[in-house]
Amino acid sequence: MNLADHYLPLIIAVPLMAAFLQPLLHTLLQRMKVGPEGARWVKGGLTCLALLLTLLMVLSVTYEVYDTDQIQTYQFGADEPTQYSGADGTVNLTDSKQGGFPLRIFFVVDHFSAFGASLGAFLAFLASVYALSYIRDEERRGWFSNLLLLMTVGLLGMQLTGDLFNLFVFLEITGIASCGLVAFPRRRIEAVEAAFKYLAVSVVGGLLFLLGVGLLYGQYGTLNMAFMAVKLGEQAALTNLDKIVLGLFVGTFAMKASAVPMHMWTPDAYAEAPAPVTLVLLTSTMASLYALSRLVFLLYGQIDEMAHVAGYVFIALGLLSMFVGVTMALIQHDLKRLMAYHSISQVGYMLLGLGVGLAVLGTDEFDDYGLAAMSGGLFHLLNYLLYKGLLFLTAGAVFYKLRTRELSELGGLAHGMPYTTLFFLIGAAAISGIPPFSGFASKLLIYESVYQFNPLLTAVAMVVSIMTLASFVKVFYSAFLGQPHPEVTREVPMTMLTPMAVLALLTLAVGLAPDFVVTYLVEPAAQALANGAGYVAGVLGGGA
Amino acid sequence: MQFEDLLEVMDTGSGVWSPLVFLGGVLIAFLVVFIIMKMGHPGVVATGRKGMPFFSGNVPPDQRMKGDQLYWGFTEALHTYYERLRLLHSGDLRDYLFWYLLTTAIITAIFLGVE
Repeated sequence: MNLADHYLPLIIAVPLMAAFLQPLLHTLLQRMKVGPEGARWVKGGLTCLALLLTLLMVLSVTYEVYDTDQIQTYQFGADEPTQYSGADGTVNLTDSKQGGFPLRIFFVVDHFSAFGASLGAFLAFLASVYALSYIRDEERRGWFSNLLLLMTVGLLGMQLTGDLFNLFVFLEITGIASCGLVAFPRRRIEAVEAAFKYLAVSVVGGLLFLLGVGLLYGQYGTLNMAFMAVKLGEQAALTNLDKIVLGLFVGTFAMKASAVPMHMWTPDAYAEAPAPVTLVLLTSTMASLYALSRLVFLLYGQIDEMAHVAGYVFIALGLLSMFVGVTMALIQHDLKRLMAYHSISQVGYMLLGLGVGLAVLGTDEFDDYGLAAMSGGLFHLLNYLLYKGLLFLTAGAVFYKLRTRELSELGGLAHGMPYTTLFFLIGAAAISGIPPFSGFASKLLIYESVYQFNPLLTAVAMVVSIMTLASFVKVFYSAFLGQPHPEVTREVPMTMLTPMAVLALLTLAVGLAPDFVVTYLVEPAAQALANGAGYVAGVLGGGA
Repeated sequence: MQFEDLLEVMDTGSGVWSPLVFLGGVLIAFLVVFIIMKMGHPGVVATGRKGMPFFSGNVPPDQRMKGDQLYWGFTEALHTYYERLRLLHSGDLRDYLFWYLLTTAIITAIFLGVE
């Protein structure tokens, strides 16, 4: 047996196993009378190790997909999970043994899902390292690690699965684990309240998504996403139920991705969650954007008229998110809440880029600027995760030192926390789109491609970028400049500085080599997303 | 994949972007600024109005300006907009669910209207 053939299920199984080992480990350490410092390294170390292993497996699969330019699939419960095509390469999942259609659950990895899963696994690993020092409640560290690992399972599963019901299951795992993590500082009533609100909207969202899946299953009798795409494509015209399902899918995942006006849970959850959790919450937003894009492009992208209207819906949500997010950020005086509103604003850029691509899908304009707009949206997603993750970690470092997030109670931190200040500056410059930082390159790609679609959209995007800069000038001025803060004389521990340094270096590196990243990483992902037929062929046979 | 790929100019479809060329430009700009600075009179001390922070042509107040006050003019000009926005962000869970369901209903109605 070649272990590498089974990386796809192991990507889920390893963090899942580690999550369930945590309570056992806790009991064992208590019986062995291991002190809090030792327990911290053992429990935290196990989490880091599990997530490092997961990251390495995800990177290996990603390399394979990008190198071979082939979609990877894994069929659970099959004799040969990775080899289901016949000798001539044409026998596929719809053969007689399967009853005429794909029965089993699939994991499917194309460039787009590999791109998202790599980012998710990478940030989850960094969050676990950061949490080694950040989480001080040793008694409950096991719970934290358990939930962090489960959340990683959920967000990776959302991006790997090729099955609609499976997607619902992973969506719920992500939602429940993240609610638990948001409520982790349980002595803060605000944290518990934020978690409850997040749980409520997640549950309603999950149920509406499940309703949509049920409506599709009732009509077409399959849950396999590729096969569902085939079934929808065979219809002379979409039924009203199909259209309702599209509405439910777009509404639900746009809400989970923090699109305005369904974003209200975001500032609550992002602000109250511990900093490493916020980092992983960013990736769960990304997983929701992934699901939103994947479902719309794959299932409905083949119906031009519907895809174009969906594109306009994306653009409208994107514009609202960009503008409302940044204007709300300007008036915040809670550091993390301010950053949460900027997250909403940045999601708007991604929706705009993806929306323009969708609005011209299947037309000549798609090759002219649609693909570039989608690449811009995905490139911005990558940059967003790097610099926004960095900014949230710097906010966490400030909170770690002073136990406050109020800008009016901060000031002069640059004297005692020079590295954190430098990292904050890098993140702030990148999110504000200052050249040559990474945010500029992705925004430029969006500006220029979207301009060809409608210049007004670019104008709004540029104004939002200027307001983002204004907002971060305020934060820098309030928190880091001024007389030295009497309570801050030393930097945060190395385990917190290292993840920030890694993210800062990557932000700089991506900014300095944008063409490399776009050509080799982002554009193949955008092409895979737009190419629904390729996905179907890759899963159901006939080659990618 | 070669090392030179890292230095490639990014094609945006209707333009190009090279961070290295930009950094070269910044370096030249710094050089010009440095030369101009060197051409000035050494030992000039900013006193009186010259030493004060610029405050839109007004005399700055004695106390330290807070971060919240930096964009007072902007938020004041958009007073009505912000009032409505604050109402929208009530913190009430029922509002969260209302906006989610309303938006989903509107989106669904739009899709139902597509032929």
